[in-house]
This record gives sequence, C-alpha cells and structure tokens, in this order.
Amino acid sequence: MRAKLFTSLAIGVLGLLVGLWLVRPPATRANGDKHEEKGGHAHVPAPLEYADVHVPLSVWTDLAMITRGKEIYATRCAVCHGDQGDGKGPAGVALPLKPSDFRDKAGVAEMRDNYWFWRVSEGGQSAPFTSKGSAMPPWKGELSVQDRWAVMAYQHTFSGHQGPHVPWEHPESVLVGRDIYVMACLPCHGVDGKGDGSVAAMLSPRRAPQPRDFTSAEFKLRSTPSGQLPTTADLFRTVTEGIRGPGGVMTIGLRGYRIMPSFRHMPEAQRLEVIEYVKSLNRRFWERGEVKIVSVPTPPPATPERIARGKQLYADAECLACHGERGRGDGPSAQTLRDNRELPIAATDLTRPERFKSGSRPEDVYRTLVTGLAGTPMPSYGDSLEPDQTWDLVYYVQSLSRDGRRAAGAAAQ
Amino acid sequence: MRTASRRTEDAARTIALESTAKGQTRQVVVHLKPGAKIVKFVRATEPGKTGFVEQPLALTDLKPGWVVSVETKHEGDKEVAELVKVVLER
Repeated sequence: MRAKLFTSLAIGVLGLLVGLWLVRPPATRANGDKHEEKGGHAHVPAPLEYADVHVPLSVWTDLAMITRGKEIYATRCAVCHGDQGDGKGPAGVALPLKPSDFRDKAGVAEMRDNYWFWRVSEGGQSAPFTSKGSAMPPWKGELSVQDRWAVMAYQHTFSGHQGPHVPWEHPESVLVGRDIYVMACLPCHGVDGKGDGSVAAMLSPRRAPQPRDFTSAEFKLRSTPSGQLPTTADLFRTVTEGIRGPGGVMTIGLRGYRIMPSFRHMPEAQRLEVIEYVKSLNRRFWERGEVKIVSVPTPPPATPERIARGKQLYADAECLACHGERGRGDGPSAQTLRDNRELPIAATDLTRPERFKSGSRPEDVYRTLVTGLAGTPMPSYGDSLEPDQTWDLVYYVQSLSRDGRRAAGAAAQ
Repeated sequence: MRTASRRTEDAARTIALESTAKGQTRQVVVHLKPGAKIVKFVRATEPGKTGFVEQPLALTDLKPGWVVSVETKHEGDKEVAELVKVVLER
C-alpha cells in the first residue's frame, strides 16, 4: 500500500517536472541564459558611440544605393562572405569565426541596423568579437558612411526581406529588450510605452510628472537641442540614474525621492537592450538624421562677480516668476504651471540640488538651461543666453543652495 | 588560425605571425614545409567565369600587416604549415 502510494507520488512529481520542462520559457539573453548565437555571432547591443547611427529608411530600398553597395561588396566583402552572401567565400571558410551568412533570414532579422553599422565600421577589433578570433577588418577608414550604408543595403537583399531593416519590421531584433521592458518598465510606462501603465496613475495622481510617453516627440532629459529626441546615451543615463522627485507630499515613501528608480544594478547590456526596445516604439529615432548634441564648455571658475551677474540674469530671464526670489519654487506663477498634458507641475526648488532631475553638477545645470525640459514650462535658453551668461546663471542657481553658498564662499576666499 | 603577418624570412622559410584565438594574442613563428603554398584569391578574368580563383604568391610577396589564415601542425618544437591563405591585404 505504502509502496503504491510512493510510486504514484513519484510518477506525479516526474510528470509535473516533465510538464514544467515542456512549458519553460525560451532561453533569452534577458533571463541570463546563454543566448543563441548565429554562427558564433553574438548580436550584442552596439556601443553608445554607434547606438544613434540608424540607417535612413530609404537606404534599404534605394536601387542606386544597392547597386553602389553591390560594387563595394564584390571587391571588399565577397572574398569572405561569398558572392551569394552565404558566408562561404574562399578566404572565409577556414576562419575560426565564420563570416556572417546574409541568407540566414532569422540571423539577419536579429541584427539591429546600428549593430550592423558598428560591425562594418569597426570589424572584429572590439569585444566580444576579438576574443572569438574575428578576422573582419574595420572599414570606417576606407569606406564613407554612405558607402557603409550602401554595402549594408546590398547585404540585406540576400535575406530576401523587402522593405527597410527596422525593428517594427523585425520585432525579433528587440525581443530581449521587450522582455526586460515587460518586467521592469511596463507597470508605469504601459504596454505601448505611452506612459499609461496601471501603476502610473497612482504615482502622483492628477499631477506632473507622469511616466514618459515614449511614442511622443517630447523627452525632458536630453543633451540634444530643444525640440530634439534624446541620444541613446541620455536614455542610458536616465535608466541608470533614475529620476529624482521634486520632493513634497507626493514623493513621501518613495526611497531616495526617486520617481523613477535607478536601474544601476541591471547589467549594462540589458539596459542597452531595453533602450533599443524603447526606441523601437518611436519611429522618429530613425527619421531624425544626424544627432546633434549640446556642447558644454569647460566650466569657468565661480567668482562673486559671476554670481552677481547671474543674479541679475535670474531676474531678467524671469526665472524668479516660477522658481521664486530665493529659488524655492514658490514664484508668483508657480501655482499656475501646467505641463503639456495640462497637469499641474511644480517649479523645481533650486535650494535642493539633490532633487534636480537632470543632475546638479555645474555642467548638468548648464545643459538643462540650454536644452530646456520639453513638455514642461521650463524653456530652453540656448538661443537667448551666451555661453558665458549661461555660466553666470548656473553659478547663481548653485549659490541658492546651502552647499552652493559654501562653495562660492570658499571660491571667493 | 587567423593571424596577421609581422615579417617573413625567405631563407628560413618562416613567417612571424600575431595570432588571435580564444581571447589571447600570441606571437608565433610558422615554418613552411617544402612545397607549401601561399595563395590569395582574385577575381577570375577568363570570359564567362565568375567567382574567385587562387593566385599563388611567393613568400616575399607577403607583406607585414596582411591578414592570413594558416592551419599548422606541431612537428617537434616547430609549428609547420602547408598552406597559407591571404584573407586581407592592407
């Protein structure tokens, strides 16, 4: 009787284990399993210096570009990748890391355009490819950006895919990022990235800030000029640092006054993957062309004269209307401020630099003054202030806090 | 084995290479067997033919910096090769 019970139990447990094994989620890079690599090619996120290089959509189907790419391919690539794009060129067959097979539809679909451009530009000279023995030469010194796009467009034709090579045509290229997004971002930012997740409404009811709508053109925290989308590095900084809250009642209970948590603990590759997914929600990232960045000059020394000039600018530029005479966010207009969703928004308390959303170092404050905070009443002063004047204002803003006053006093002595 | 050529010595029939494999770079001297071939791949010039054909090279034609592919065997304390393929001239 006891033996029968034990046998039944064992069969039951075994059946359960087999069942669990059958319905296990597929291995992905997101859950830490070794990802499937295409012939040894790990389609890792492109480094930040290449992450914003998205190929213009028209290139992929432009016959002139494809023809130009074919000529380049025949002379530079075919010896390893093969005339048919199958990775079986005569010089490639004996290589330890096999040249990519561009006829492999799944493998090509998984490659993002910025990854592809990075590989063509830098070849196998960067991790993890150098350790795999990649013989891929870097072409950035010999081929122009246009030529590299052209050769990619030609290589793309081998896959048989018609149309541009973009994430919304190849969702598998952002699958890893999507998995992370579902786990870490969806509750606030919503299924479609519109900032309408189920938790969003509870964060600060009927008040700004609300979770970012990734499908819109307005991103607050940027190093790009007013009206532009952020760089991938900007998004990476936000994901890494999180966003500090403005303080006050609505952020009570949120650890460290962060309205968006810091994902510093998340591996860098996973942060980059989720950012690529977030970008895929907004086609403007592929339509914007060249990415311009606001340059922040080297900070000049803070002097009492500079702070005095900054104080005058603070009044002239009407900063005090919102931020108040003492910078406490209690100016005469503060109560009437609304963001682009018509939600009441608080003016930042400048006496509490630890709450500055875009950072409190002089360079951070300079950048915020030049870029403005899109979607909020904080304008860009990029066109109205000279760099030297901007520094004056930066140092005055910094002098409004206790630490800033102390630093300014020390500098004056 | 994928390597970049550093120098060749015609008299000794050796090639000094920088080899990258498994994340490590090492310097290696490869001895060419008698009758060993060095080839590069060029486009066929014959009418009607497409693709690449092997073009034999002399050891002295091999230039420092070129990327070559060599399979070697150990013979005593030497690494010897019978075929050297030029992957990239630069």
